[in-house]
This record gives sequence, C-alpha cells and structure tokens, in this order.
Amino acid sequence: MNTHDETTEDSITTSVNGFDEIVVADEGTAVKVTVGSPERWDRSHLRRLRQSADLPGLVPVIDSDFASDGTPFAVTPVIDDPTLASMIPPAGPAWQDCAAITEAAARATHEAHLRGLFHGALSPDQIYVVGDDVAVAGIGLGLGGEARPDYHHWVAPEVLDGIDATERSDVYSLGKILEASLGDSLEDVPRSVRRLIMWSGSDTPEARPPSALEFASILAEALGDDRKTYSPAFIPTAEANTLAATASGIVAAHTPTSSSSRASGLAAGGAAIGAAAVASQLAGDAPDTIEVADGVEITPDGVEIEAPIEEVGVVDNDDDILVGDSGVDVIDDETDLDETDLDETDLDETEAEHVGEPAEELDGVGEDAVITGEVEIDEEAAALAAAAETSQLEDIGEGGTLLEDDEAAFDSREYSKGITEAATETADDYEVPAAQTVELDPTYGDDSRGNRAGILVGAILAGGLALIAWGLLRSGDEGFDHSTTGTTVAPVADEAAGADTENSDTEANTTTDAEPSAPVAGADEATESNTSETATGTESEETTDTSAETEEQTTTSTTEATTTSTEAPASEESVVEAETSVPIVNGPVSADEAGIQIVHGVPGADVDVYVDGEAIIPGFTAGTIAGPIALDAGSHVVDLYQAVDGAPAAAGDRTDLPITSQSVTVGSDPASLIAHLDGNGEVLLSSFAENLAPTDPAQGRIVVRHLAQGPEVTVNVDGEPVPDGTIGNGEFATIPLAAGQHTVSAVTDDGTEVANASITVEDGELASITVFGSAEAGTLDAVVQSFSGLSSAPTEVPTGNSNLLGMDEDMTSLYLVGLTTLVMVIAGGAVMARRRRIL
Amino acid sequence: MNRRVLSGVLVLGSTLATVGAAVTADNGGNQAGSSAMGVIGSAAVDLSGEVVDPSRARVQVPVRDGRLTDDVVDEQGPHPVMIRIGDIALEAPILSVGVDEDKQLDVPAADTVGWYEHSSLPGESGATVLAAHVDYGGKPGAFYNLADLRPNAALEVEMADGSVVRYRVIGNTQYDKTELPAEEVFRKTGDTVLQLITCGGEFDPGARTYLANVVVTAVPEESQSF
Repeated sequence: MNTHDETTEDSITTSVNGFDEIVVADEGTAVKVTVGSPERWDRSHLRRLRQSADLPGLVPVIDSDFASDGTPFAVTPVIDDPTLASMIPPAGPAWQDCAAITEAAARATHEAHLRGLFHGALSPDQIYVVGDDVAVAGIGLGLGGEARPDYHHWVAPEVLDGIDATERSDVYSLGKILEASLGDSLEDVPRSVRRLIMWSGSDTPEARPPSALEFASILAEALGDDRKTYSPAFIPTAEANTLAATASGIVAAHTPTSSSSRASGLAAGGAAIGAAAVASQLAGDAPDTIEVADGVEITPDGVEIEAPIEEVGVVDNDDDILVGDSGVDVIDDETDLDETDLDETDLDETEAEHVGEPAEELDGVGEDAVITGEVEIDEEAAALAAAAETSQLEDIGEGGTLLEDDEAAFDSREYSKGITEAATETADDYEVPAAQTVELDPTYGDDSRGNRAGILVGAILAGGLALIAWGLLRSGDEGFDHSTTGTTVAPVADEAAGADTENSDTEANTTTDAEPSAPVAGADEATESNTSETATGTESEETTDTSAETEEQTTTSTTEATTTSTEAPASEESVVEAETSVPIVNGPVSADEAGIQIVHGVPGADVDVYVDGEAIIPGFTAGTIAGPIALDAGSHVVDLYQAVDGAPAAAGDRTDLPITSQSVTVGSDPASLIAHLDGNGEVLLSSFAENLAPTDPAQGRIVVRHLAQGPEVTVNVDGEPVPDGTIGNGEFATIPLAAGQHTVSAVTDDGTEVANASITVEDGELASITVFGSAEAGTLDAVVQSFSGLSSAPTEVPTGNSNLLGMDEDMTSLYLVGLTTLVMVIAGGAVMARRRRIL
Repeated sequence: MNRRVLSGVLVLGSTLATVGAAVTADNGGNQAGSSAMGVIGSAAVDLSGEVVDPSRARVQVPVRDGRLTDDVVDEQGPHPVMIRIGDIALEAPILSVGVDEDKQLDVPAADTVGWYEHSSLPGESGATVLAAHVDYGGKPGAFYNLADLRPNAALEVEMADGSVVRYRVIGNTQYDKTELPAEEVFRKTGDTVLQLITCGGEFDPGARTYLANVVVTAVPEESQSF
C-alpha cells in the first residue's frame, strides 16, 4: 500500500471527488479528509469508522471526529497505487483479472458490512490494486445520494432516492463494476457471470444477491479454480497510527474545521502507541521507572501520564464514574449503566451539569466524594496504567488524582471505583508516599544495563530535539534500521521460510526406519528342490540399541555343491563384462539414491548373477558391490551361476546349473542382498535393510554384519566393546559414533582379534561393514558400503545472551517517546490553558 | 512500511524463493555416489546407448570394489580461518567447531566466528556454515551487525593456505528458532552457499536467549546460477 510520499507544496489542495474530499499535503504526506453531514454521521458511526481500521481489504480510516462546529470528518490516507478503473478492458489485463479483483473487493466490502459500514457509491476508481492485494476506499464515507452525476451509474437507485445504503446497495454497485470489468468481451464470459450481473442490477434491492459474500462466492465459482486470486490488503495498525499522528498535525494546521483538542488527543494517542512499543521492550525487566518529566513516567508497562484533572466538586461514594471517550464522567448512581452509555448524551449532560457545582447542591450526593471533572485521559494510557505492576499514588490535591489499583484489570467501573476511593480522602488525611522512581538495579543482567540507565535518561532529554528533527524527516522514509529490521525482515522470513520449507521437504526423504516391508514369518520358500537337503527357513530377530530391525533370512533348499568350472573367468577388476564400461563408483551413496545393492561375500567364487531370469552382473567377484539398482518391492528369484565368458542374458539359456537359486523378498526401503556362506559352507543370499535413519548431529553410524564362517565376535570401536556388540553369524551390530576416524575390530571370546580396520565416518554417514569368508581357510575379508545424507543439523545455534539488540531498540523507542512526550506535554498544557470540550 | 520497504521486502522474498527453487532443482546431481541406477525387469536398459550383443548381459549395473582397506583419511582441504565483511566493518578469525554435549552448535567466544566443521568447505557442494554471537556476556559479538547486511554486499573468507574465496550476499532472513529451516541451512549437497548465522529477534530475559536466528546467505562471487 502506498501512501502518498511525494513532497508537495506546503498547502492545501482541494479536489472535489464526488464526496467533498479535501486532499491535504503537508511535508510530503497527504491524507484525504472527507467531510460528512451531521445528520448522517453520528458519534457511533464515527466510532465504527475508526474501529474499521483493522479490517483487511479496506483503506483504513485513520481518524474521524467532529470538528468544533459539529461537522464530522474522516481522514484516510491517499493511495498511490492503480485502481481497478485503470485496469478495465481494453486498458488492462483480461476480464478475468478484473473480475477476480471485484471478487476480492466484494469480500472486503462484506467484512465492512458485518461491522455496520456500507459504501453506497462503490466504483472502480475506489478499488486499489497493489500487486496481488486489493483495498477498497470509501467504505462508510460515501454519501451516496449526494454523489456527483457521473458517479450515478454505480449507485443503487434507492440510494439515489435518498435511502441509506445497505448491503444490497453495495451489491448493486459491485454488479455494475463487474459489468464494466467485462469490457467488450461478452462472448467468452460464462453464463453464470452474466446472470450475476443481471441479478445484481435489479432495481429492487430484495431481488439482488443478499450479501456481498454471496456475490463473491458466485463469482468465484464462475471464475473457476485457476483464476488469479486477490487477497485483501492489510495495513498494519502501527502504520495507521503513525499516519494518524501525522494526520493530526495536518488536520490541526490546515483544516479550519478541525478541533485542536482532538489534535492533542491524537498526539496523546501517538504517545500511547509509542508507549506500547516501549512497553514491549521493557517487558520482563526488573521494575524500573524513569521519570521523564513532571507527571510523565516510563514504566515497564508503558508511559504513564498524569492527566490534568480539575477538581470541581464532590459526589457520593456510590456514584459511578466512567472513563469514556471524552474523559472521566460522573453519573448519578441511579443511571443504568451499560456500554452504550459511554457515548450517550446523558452522560455528557450530567457532566456538564455538575462540573463546577459545590457538592451540597447536588442531588443525592454525599459530602465526601469528589467530582473529577473532565479528564483528558487516553484510553490506552489509562488501560496501561491500570495494568501497571507498580501502583503509584500521587498527591491528591489540586494537581490531580490518578489512582491505579495494581490488581485491577481495566474495567471502567473498577477503575472508576479506584478513583472514587482515592478521591474520598482529603489531602490532609491522606498520606501520600513520594512519587516513586525505582532505580534500575545495576546488577541486573549485564553491566551494560547500568550504563543503559544513564544513557537513557541523558538521551531522552537530549534526544527530544533530535526526535523532532527525525519526525519532520520521517515522512516517507524507512525509519531506523534497527527498529525496522525486525519488521522488514519478518515478512521476508515468512515468504522465504515458506519457500525454503517447501524445498527442504523435497530434499529430505531419508528418514524411514529401514524395515523390510514384507517380513516373512518363518516361511519356507522353496523354489527349486532337487537335493537331499532341506533347510528350514529361519527368521532371527535382532534388536539393537537404536532401533528394532527385523532381519530376514529366507532360505530355500539348496542345490548340490558347486561344481568347479574349468572356465573360471579371470576377471580381477570389478567391471561389468559388456561392450561398454560402466563407471566404477566409489565413495558414499546418497541415502535417497540407495536402492538395492548386491554384495559378493563369497570368497573365491566368481559368479554371474541373474535376477528374475535376467543377467545383471556377469563376472561378479568377491569383495565387490553392485548397484544401487532399482528393484520392485516383492519377491524376486536370484540365481548365481558359475561365471562364464559370454554369459547368456537369459537364465533359461544357461546350460549349467546355478550355484544357488533363491527367492529373495525386498521392500521399498534400501537394502543389501549379500551372498555369503552359511554355517554349512553353502552359498546363501541374505537381505539386510540398511539403517538410513538420521544420525545425531556430528555423528555417523557403523553397522557390522557377521557373515563369515566362524564363531561369534564382539565388535570393538576404538578399543572399547560396543553395547550389544556381540554378534554371531547372520547377526549385526549397530554403532552410532562421533564423526571422524575410528578403529573397528572384531574380537572373539578368547580375546583374539580377528579383524581390525580404520574407518572414517563423516557426519551423517553410514558405513555398513560386512565381514565374510572363513577365518579357518584364511579367507576372512570385509567390504564396506557407505551411505551419506543422514546428517542432522545441530539442535540450536545459540549466538546471543545479552539483548544488546534490544537495547538499541530501546534507544530508538525512547527517542520516539521523548518526542511524543514533549509534544504531548506541550499540547496538554495548551489544552489546559484553554479548556474546551467537544460534545 | 512504505512502498520502498515493501517492494524491497518482496524482491528479497522472491529472490530467496527463486534461490530455493534453483537449489532444489540442482540438488542430487553432485553426488560422488552412483547416479546411474540399473533398472531390472523392464526392457533391458543400455546405459551407454550402444547396441550390444543380445546374448550378452544387457543390463549394466555399476559394480565397485568394496574391500575394506585401511582407510586413508582424505586430507581435507584447508579450513577457513578469517572472514572479512566490509559493509559491517568486520574482520574476525574463524575457528573450526563442532557441537557441544547438548548437540548445539558450539559457538566460540564473542569476537570469533565458528565454522561448523561438519558443514561443507568453501567450494564444496552444500552449505558452509559460519556462526558467531550477536552479543555475549554483555559485549557485542562478531556478528552484531549481521542483520544489516544487504543483498549484493561483498564478503570474503580466507583459508588456511592463504587463498581467499569471495562471496556475495543474496539473502538475509530472520527465523524463529523453532522454525529455522535446518535442512536447507545445513545441507551438504547441492549448490555451494555460505550461511552466516547469528541470533536476533525478541529476547527472552528469563532464558537469557534470543528467540530467533538471523541467517545471511551468500554465494561465491563467480556463481552464475543465482
């Protein structure tokens, strides 16, 4: 949303824009002041306007009040962005975009309707389009029937006749806007849209769609899912309030119909907002209150302003005192109090009546109470004060009384009772402790805090002037780096975090526990049995200290013993025997590319490997690893044949019998199929899921698989036995360890070290070590498969413990407070000097 | 927030989104591991594109020697030892650090920058992670002004062998600590980036800690992909 930030002459530019709007530019800031008619705009309407500032999708009303002559006015920012009027065909994009904008405007308008605000003269040049956001101007400000003739096209007939605008009047306008959005391209406009236009354009309000929301829903459905969506624009309240603070100066200085008391009230409002900012900075610190000026203090909960109060009389204890829009008012205790009374004229009449009267002359009034006359208290400051942790009692006397009950939530009656109670005591009877300023605890936190106190006090006094200059230069600029860093960066963080989160989701896919997805419970899978031996299928379950894994051993009846072939190929290298060479890959396999790997753990046997009848690894030699390959989950038949030159592609073409033929079951998770010797010296294929669970930060993982012929061993890492590290044939141990180099060894029961190696495991790496062969035959060997991509980031990056950034922001906010305090004190003094009341 | 700031925010946000997308798109191609998987079962895949004798094995699966030899520890490249960022008048030494017993990044003393030793080295795929305090023990830390870095700011990292890697800032983002995209910030694969991390945002005086992290992302100066 752009607020007008070109520097213009320091003058009023008056432009009549259909509704008597005055565009005022001062020091580069422009606001629109819309003057209303007293018959139509009463106090409650103005209050609704002010309270609509938080609605998204509307150009906010940053101030609205009655001028001294009773004329109501409302102030809105001037928006520099293009309007729908500039986008209507043939000027702009396709009609669907304009229609989508109209839909968003309808939704925003509906929100205003729910608050009791109607537009009455909605037109395309009041719908601002900022990128993908839409903001509607003029809600609640339009005078409808008094619009200029060239706006009559957009205004519902009943409004032109003088009837107040309703939801359906705005629906009429939205329909006209939609019609204009179509331009000339009526051919490809869906029927439902044309129907909606006709429906909305009905002269009879009851015949139109009942609400702007209904209008928007129908339009959304007609436009379909792939339309461009516009969202309601949102101006943060802080910006609106800052505009308000600036606007008050403009209004006071230029518009002759403004009231200066309202201006001071706005300034106080500005102080309250500044106070809120300060409060958030100081919240949680040790109680520290700094007295900035007479009657003005900065406390943990904000700025406390001693409001000027005139004591003019006495009321009874039982009377209720309300803090309302216009200050503290006294009502006779017989008056029925409810929310609406705050604005009702009864209240004001009562106040008007009683102020100045000596107590004895008031009806039903006892002698002990005090009428506090009109008090210029800003509601927010009062609320902050009421919630303050420190209760402050100040002199009751002519200067004024403000009693805060430190336990009272801000409830107007509670607050008023507090005032009453204090007010009942006369200065003589009441011992008032001196106004308390709590010193900053110099030992709290770091020493810099003590310095902060001195810096703050000195800076505030000196900084007031600096802040005046800042305020003058403020218009249109970005403000302090420190204080805006938070706000500028946060939305980026949202967007970027959103984008980055999506990206990291697509990257991270390594976390499953590596469990085979189809455990077979002790099943025998006999695919070929032509031997005398029948091996029973076994399933052993191993639990390790990090995860429960199910290890599967599926065996089949094995064939007869290997026949040595005279044609053992002498391929020493691990290259696939084929026309073209496949690159030998070393180094870790990324966890998200780890499919199925096949490990040759049978010493001395060169084999041709067939899976499902198709040769995939001719000339597979011991100690080599094939893959990763992608194998569908489920059962597959794996045949290992004696390796021959020119191995046929199809197992069916082989003339010899396989060394072993086995059905293996794989899941969808990465796993290794390992050919090894079983306890009987037969070749067996075992499937092991790879443990690709994430590792702890700065850690890796080692898995040691015992597939050798030999006794059970205990795995030692860096000389120490690992927990659950004693494994027999077919078992494995899982060892998380710190990233880096380690020695891994296997030690038998009698303490003999049978294997020893130095392994480097990086952060996030898994090294799966398979020990195979036979110690007796001297063919003991091992292979290692490395996987990467399992790393976890450190749990936190703790890089700060002293809140020096906060101190900077305090400085900034306190400069702000310094200025607004000065302004407020001056204004407050001026107001006191010539007291006036508005209504 | 006025238009300039807002549009700056939007530009930065969309830049980061684009960066994120580019990083994702490029990821996965830089692995030392196998990137060619043989597929079994379908029509025989000839990875080379050549026609092979049908009687020979047609599916070519990569095979490697997996023997466990005495691991020769690869000499890692030189570590980063100094960082200089002109725009915020920073020159600070860099120490290699790991994690502490709480698995948090073990950030060194206030005026020193830590290189997370398990992150990539400058020049390698993935993110080089440098972290330093914004403040510590009442004093400003090395990264006190990190949040002030704007895109295109230049910085350089000097390595132990004297070589210098120059970077250009492409992003400066603040995240609630609970929402830090750790997978992206600490990634080890994909495009080469430098991530500078410190604290920021709201301060929790009870816990004496900040609630957000500020992350500045930078790419090597010659980088074309951003």
